[in-house]
Amino acid sequence: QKERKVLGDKAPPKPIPKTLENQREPDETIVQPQDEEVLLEENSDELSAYFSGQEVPKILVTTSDRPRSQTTRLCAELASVIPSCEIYYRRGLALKCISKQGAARNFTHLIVVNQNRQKPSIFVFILADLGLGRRGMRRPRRPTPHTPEVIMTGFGTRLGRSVGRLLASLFPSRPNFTGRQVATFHNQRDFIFLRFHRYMFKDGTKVGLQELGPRLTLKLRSLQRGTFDSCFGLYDWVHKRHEMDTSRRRFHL
Amino acid sequence: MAQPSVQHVWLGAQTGLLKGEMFNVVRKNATNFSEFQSPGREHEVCAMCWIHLACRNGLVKKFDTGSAGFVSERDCTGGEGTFRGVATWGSSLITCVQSGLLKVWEEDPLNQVALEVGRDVYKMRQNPESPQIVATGGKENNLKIWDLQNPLKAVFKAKNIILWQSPDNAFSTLSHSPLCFSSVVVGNTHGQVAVVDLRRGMVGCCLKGFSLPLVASCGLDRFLRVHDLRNKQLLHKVYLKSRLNCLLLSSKENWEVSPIFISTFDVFLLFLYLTKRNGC
Repeated sequence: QKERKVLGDKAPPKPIPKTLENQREPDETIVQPQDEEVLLEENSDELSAYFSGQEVPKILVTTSDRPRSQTTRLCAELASVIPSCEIYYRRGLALKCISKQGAARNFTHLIVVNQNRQKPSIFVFILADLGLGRRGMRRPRRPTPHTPEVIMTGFGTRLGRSVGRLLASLFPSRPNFTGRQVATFHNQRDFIFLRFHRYMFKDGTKVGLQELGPRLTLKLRSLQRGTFDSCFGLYDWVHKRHEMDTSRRRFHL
Repeated sequence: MAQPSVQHVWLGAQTGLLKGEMFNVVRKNATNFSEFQSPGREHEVCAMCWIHLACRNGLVKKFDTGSAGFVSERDCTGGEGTFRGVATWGSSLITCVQSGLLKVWEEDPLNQVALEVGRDVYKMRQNPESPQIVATGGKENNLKIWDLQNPLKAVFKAKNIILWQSPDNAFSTLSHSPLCFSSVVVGNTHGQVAVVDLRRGMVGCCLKGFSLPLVASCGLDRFLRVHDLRNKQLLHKVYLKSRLNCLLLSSKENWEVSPIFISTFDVFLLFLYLTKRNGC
């Protein structure tokens, strides 16, 4: 650095630091923008009705049996940020039973917050199984009932794209811009970070952010085709630690 | 576009696309043989036979490898659910749908044969040596063998052979292993492929001693994989962009034509035999 100061403008350009992201192993499934085949598949899949605005998501949130206070609090926080979200007690019902009853009452998504060692740990999403970590906020603000915008960042591969689509389909496709609320799903090194903010444009360049909902960290464990079925369900993708985690520079999402 | 007659593996995708894949060690080249405008969810390829495509909407399309295009379409709607198997028998088509309706489609509608094979059919396969004999099986539906010249009664009804039953994960696919009649290659819903010896009832213990070495698999993860059965090695893995439902192996002589394959010539001669055995 001293040499750099002495040389001034003549100093050689700083080398780009090596990170796991820019040293990532090449992945052939990374989606190129405007890939005809991917668009064709996305226009004809189950979630296409949400994104074209024909269907509005209606989400059923439930827990495992005998939820602890942290788990119920997380459910309440989720319900405060995700519109058209209803919380029900599990009442010892089997998942298959719940999904059948939910479908009869026009629910489109099912989120199950399980707990491990009395802390909320696993989301069983109706299609994906996501691990969950959680961090508290310093000064939580109250969200308004406006539909938030959704930002997805870092979902590059074909798998990442379908997971991102699934997560984005939790929110109605037409956001209410007057609420100035935004939900961000950020994927970094296969961890999905979920944040809720309210934004304000201060002038042409600066934006103020106010954090609203819970901070969640998700990790994909498996992705199933159709409704959740532990025995006969077809898996799109399962995380197999010993096969897949042989390199630190390989990411799947 | 690549020549359709030199494709080694044909794949049917859930988007209704037909893909050809040349088995090439150096380059990976997959070709689409459908137009992007026509396919969609209702054109999803549910079953294939050489080289007919049974789509979700009840149409069976015939593909001509010479002109690289679809030559004819046939409306084969009937029963409920998707196609679980399609086969050819002379000039007629044999289709089987999920609800158990097995039908032989002749040119003359009076000669058409229809029979019920039971609910929740998962697979219908044809005997390659005598094409009038087909086998069906499914969930809670025992394996039955039918002679289509005498369709009133099943030739053989197995007891307790039900697809889809296993203690851990359901088997989703099954194929007869070459030459060794007591072995089958099975794949489950978790994406694991194993060779099971039915005599001994153990998984993965009899990989040695196979003289026919290749098995090709495709799945929801959009990859085509070709494994060597002898040493369990992955020989070929291609990303094909769409979810894949079914595949066909070409039994053309062009396995020998490509100069790259000379070093592994014996592999492909044996492969030819394998494709003949499986009736692909």
